[in-house]
Amino acid sequence: MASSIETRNLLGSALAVLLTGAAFFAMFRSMDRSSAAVADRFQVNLALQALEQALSNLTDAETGQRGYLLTGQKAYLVPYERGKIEAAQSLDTFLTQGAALGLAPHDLDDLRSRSVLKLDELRRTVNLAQEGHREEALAVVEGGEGHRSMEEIRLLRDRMRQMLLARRATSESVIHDARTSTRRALFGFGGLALLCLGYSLWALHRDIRLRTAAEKALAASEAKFKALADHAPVGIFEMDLDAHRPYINGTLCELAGLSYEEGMREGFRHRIHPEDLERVLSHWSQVRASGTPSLLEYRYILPDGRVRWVESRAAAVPGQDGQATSFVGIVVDQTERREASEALLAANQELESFAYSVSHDLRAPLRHIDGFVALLRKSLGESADSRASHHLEVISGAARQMGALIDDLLSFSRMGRAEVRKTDLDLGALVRRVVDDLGPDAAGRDIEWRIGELPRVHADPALLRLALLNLVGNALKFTRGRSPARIEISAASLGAAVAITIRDNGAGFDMRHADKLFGVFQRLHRQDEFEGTGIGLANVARIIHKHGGQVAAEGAPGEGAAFTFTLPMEAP
Amino acid sequence: MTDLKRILLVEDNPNDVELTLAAFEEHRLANEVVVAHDGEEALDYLFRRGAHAERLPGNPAVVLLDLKMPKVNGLEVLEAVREEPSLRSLPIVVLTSSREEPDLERCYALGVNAYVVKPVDFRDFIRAVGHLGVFWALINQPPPGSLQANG
Repeated sequence: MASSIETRNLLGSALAVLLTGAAFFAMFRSMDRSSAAVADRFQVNLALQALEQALSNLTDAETGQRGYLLTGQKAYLVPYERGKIEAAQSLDTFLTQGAALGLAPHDLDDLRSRSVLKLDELRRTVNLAQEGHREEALAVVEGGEGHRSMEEIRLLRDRMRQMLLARRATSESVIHDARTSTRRALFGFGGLALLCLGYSLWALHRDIRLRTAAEKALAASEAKFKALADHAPVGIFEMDLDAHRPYINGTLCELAGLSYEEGMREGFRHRIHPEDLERVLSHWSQVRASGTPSLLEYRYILPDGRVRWVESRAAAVPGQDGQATSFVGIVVDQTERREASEALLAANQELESFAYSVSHDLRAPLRHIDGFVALLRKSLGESADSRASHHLEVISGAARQMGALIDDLLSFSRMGRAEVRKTDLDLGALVRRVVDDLGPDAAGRDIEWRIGELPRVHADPALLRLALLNLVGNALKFTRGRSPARIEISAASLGAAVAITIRDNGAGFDMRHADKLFGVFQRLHRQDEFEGTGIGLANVARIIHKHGGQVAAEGAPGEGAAFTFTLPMEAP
Repeated sequence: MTDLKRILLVEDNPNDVELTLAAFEEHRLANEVVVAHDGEEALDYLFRRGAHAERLPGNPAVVLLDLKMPKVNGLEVLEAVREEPSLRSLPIVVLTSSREEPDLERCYALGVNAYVVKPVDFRDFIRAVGHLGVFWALINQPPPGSLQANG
């Protein structure tokens, strides 16, 4: 936008200048022509004047001559003498000017010779009269010769006068034209020039206005970001390629234990932990060279000796040519995160050793209970009645149940802490292996297996196997009363995920209690109906949730159950 | 004549000792069973020192070794035995309550011959001990140097 205004401005100004130049050029040309015509007109006027003067002088001389001839008074000789001399002078002047003006030479010669003849005639007659021959002199005059010659001169004068007047008219029309064209040039070009100038000025004004507005907007935006950055809870910096920092915020200085002045003056290098310094510097020079965003963890040593872990993230700011001219980044205090993760690790360790000792120390007494009950039964032998036998059986059973609970609890707890290591695996093959592993539980029974097309999935093989063992094992367990037992394993695609369903025709469950199914130690059947600790499905739920999937179940008492879990498809 | 081979049972809990012996009886295994009540006793016996300095030379056919014991525990016994050239090939079966992976890993790394978890269910326990006894004491050929009973 701005540059088009600049262009318009430039064009307008240039045009104005050109038009002004054209106006001046036109005016100068007119003036030139005009002044030539003026000079010419002046010359013509002079010539006209001289011509009239000459005639007038001649007339005066003639008049003097006549008067003298007629009256004989010497007073008339004065105008004659004067006229004679002045006529000669003005005639000379006129002839020169006329020649300069380009009058026909033959006309000029004609005038001269006639004038000379005339003057000669006057001189003769005057001389005659002066010598006493006045009568003779008068005879010449009355003969009409003098009158005629003067008439001829007058005619000649009229003709030349016409020519001069015509010439003067031409000059005047040139002058008039020049004036017109000057006026036209002035108003025409000049007017246009002014318009262009006006336009340029308007464009300039608009440009300035826009730029001022843009500058204000920029200043406002910068102020906003500065306020944001100054008060952000993380360190913010801008760094140029020579590691100078034109901008740092207060939080950054706090993190490094520096005052603002120190930070700006000395930088932050001296606060970096000596063990991290080399790594940080080499990382930075790499980033500067490649311009790629960086992520780096390192330590500051604070003035009081404390160590603070921070994470810095920086990205390059591209300049006009796409090359990085500076870096902007944030520095985040990692203390909390590290403390939390350390605490978590410690807690996990504690849990690990707790689970370990629990599993070992709790099992031993249980084993003893069961073992010695068996020994007791043996030593009682035949003398044990059915009631005593039953009591002993209960004690053993309870001990065994507790053992199973401990095992399940332990594995559930371990599951919670286990890392999910996903890999691409063939679900069909895994299911078939699980079915094989459950072979002993299926031995001797009439079971219809319906295993559909199962896709490849992205999951932790060990954990998924456990989940499947649980689900298929449950199906086997709860179909114990059925013959044939039908167990169906199928898969359906949900676009971004796949849903696997294990359906059986076993004992089923009441949907009203469905929300308890996946709870820890929750059972929907009595121990004497179907054995179990109620942790299997809780384990399944945990495993599937760790994979980012969902679990669901539906069923009806006596009509079997269907358990479905989903696994998200990993984006390739 | 079948030579009955000696079994060394290393177990700190007297109840477990009793149950194990009862299990042996159940299977009518008549082998001599020597009991060490902790790791130190076991090492004393195997290295023929301390209280057992005077015993006749010769190794048991198999050692049933518990892991969790006071003073010197099962892993330490295992380590010490495997470092001793004369005892390196001694068959050792770890018999323990622990099913923990680290224990399994460590034991196999130290060269245990077998690892059996003591089941809570006594019937299973009898079966397991019986299998062990039958295999190691009757079927398996121990390395040379095993003591004959009442030699």
